[in-house]
Amino acid sequence: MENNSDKEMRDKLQNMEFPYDPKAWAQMETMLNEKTQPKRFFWWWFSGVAAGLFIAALLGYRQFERGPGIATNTVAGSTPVIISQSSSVVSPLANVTVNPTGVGAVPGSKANNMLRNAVQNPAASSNFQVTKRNGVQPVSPPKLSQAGQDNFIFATAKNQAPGKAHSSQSKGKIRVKGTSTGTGQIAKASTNSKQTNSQPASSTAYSGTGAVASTGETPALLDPATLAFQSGFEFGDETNPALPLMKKDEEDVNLKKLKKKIFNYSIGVLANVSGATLGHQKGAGSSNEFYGIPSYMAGITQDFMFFKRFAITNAILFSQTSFKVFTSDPNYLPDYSSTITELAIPIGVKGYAVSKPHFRFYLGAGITTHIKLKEAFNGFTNFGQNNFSPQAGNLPQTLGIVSVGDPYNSYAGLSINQSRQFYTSFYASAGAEFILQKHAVFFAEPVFDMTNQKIGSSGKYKYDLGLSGGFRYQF
Amino acid sequence: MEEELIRGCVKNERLAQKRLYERYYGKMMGVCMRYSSHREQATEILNMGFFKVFKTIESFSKRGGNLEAWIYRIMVNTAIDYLRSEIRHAHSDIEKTVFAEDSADIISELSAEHIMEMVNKLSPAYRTVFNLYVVEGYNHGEIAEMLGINEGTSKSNLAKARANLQAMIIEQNKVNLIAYGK
Repeated sequence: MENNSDKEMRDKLQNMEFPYDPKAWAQMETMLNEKTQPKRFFWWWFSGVAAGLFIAALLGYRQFERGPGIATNTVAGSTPVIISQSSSVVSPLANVTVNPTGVGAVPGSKANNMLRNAVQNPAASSNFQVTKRNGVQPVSPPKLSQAGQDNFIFATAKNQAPGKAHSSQSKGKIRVKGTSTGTGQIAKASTNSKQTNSQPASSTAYSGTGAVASTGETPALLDPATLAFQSGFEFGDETNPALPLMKKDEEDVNLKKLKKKIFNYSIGVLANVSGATLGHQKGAGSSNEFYGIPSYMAGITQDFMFFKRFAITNAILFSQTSFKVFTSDPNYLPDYSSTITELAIPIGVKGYAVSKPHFRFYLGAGITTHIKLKEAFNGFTNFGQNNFSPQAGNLPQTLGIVSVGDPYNSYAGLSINQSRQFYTSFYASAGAEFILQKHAVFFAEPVFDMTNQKIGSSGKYKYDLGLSGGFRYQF
Repeated sequence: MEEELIRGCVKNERLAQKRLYERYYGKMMGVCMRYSSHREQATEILNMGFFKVFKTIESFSKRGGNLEAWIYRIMVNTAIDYLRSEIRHAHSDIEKTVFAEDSADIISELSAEHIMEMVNKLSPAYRTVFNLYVVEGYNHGEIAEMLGINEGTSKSNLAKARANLQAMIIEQNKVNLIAYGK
């Protein structure tokens, strides 16, 4: 065919029009209804799930750390009496309740006296244990005991250890660990002993860090802060050799150590810079090329570490990444850059090759879910002059900013990854962690990230090499 | 009137979208039909194109320009995107090349519907190159870039498209002559 034939065909085809078909609009309307809502729904759903997981992880950790809760020791021949109070005490004494039932129930006034006395020395007040003895001559302190009635014996503590242990106990029993030093103890509670009722040699010689009461002391009123600190007490029968309190303390301590060995949680901040895209990538079937421009990420990160050798890591990061796209024919498509603002949510695993108290080294890998929030295009050259490209000068140098909430747009051909709001990438990393004061974890890790991006319909792999660093607080 | 329609579409008003759709349906369906092998495919491409139009009309309203040309451009791009994989995979198609003869007179006697029907019968690769070169006016370099093929393939596909059309036109002409003879 010659040019005349082309012209004949062009004229006829270009001027051809079809009558309007209402069915086509019905399909269009369905498409409009379907394709706009699910994206938003998915976004909210995804955010909700991510936030939920985050909160669940935190709560789960707290629960794990706290242990199974308060277990009342029920000793043969006596009924435990629990004094409990809310941690949000305003008027402390009013909130102290005493179980009035059971053998040898403790009158409330006596319990209050006991509490008053216990906090005379605030430093030691967290380090006491109270037991009752049924029908036994009171041993001490005289002011708190009455012949023929229940006795309260304060076991004393050794040094600061119990205080420290209790300081992290916001709810539950307060137990005693340790031995009071000095002479004249009214109670002796050695680490491995259940003995708590030795007679004082001297009525005034309750020495040692944990001593909390002495003969002749006048009970003082509790202050709210102190009482709030002492959130629970347990009464057991110390005359019973099976009294499990001290043993249980040991178990608790051991459990805590064990927990620390099994699991710990840390949360903190992370920043990442990907400075280099490893060369340019060229996809099969297209001559478009793109180069990465440095990317930035920053946000919150958390680690769940098991057995000090393995960790699940997760983060929520705000990210900005850019691409330069060079097209082979600027008359059709200009060279341009695309800047993407997104949320990046990596989740991965780490294996610790070295795990020492102050230093760890690990290898990690995982996937990152990217949620594109915005994509901005900037053109380097004008469009060409052909009939169906926008005319040169018709578009500004800045081609446009596209809200990716509306992913189907005329920039889809330009968009990295075809304007898809969600995409994933794979990463691998190696890093070092430095632990200071048991809780402060500083980390740095080179990260290799691989993404299969698309321009138009051409898939191209983008490889980034970056560096992450940050700080986490380890509980 | 057009500005009002655009404003309505920017606000995502369904009635405005419908009016815009109705207004440009005929012309744009013609574009999509040229690139498709059947009407259902053309409708699908048309609706994908209009979807893009509705989602990006806000940016168009800000920068201005010829609305019809803009929609036209989106339709062509959508059709190319839609057919791109078919086009690439059809490179190895071997079709008989028929030497062209001057058939402008015959074509002038054919209806647009007839010509469209013939174009639709071409393979996706030939049809797309034919449309881009003959109807849209792109050169082979541009077409090669758009379709992700090389220029030689574009030229070859055009030649084969022409040859196939030529064969169809001659065949149609024979049918017409026989019908006339009867």
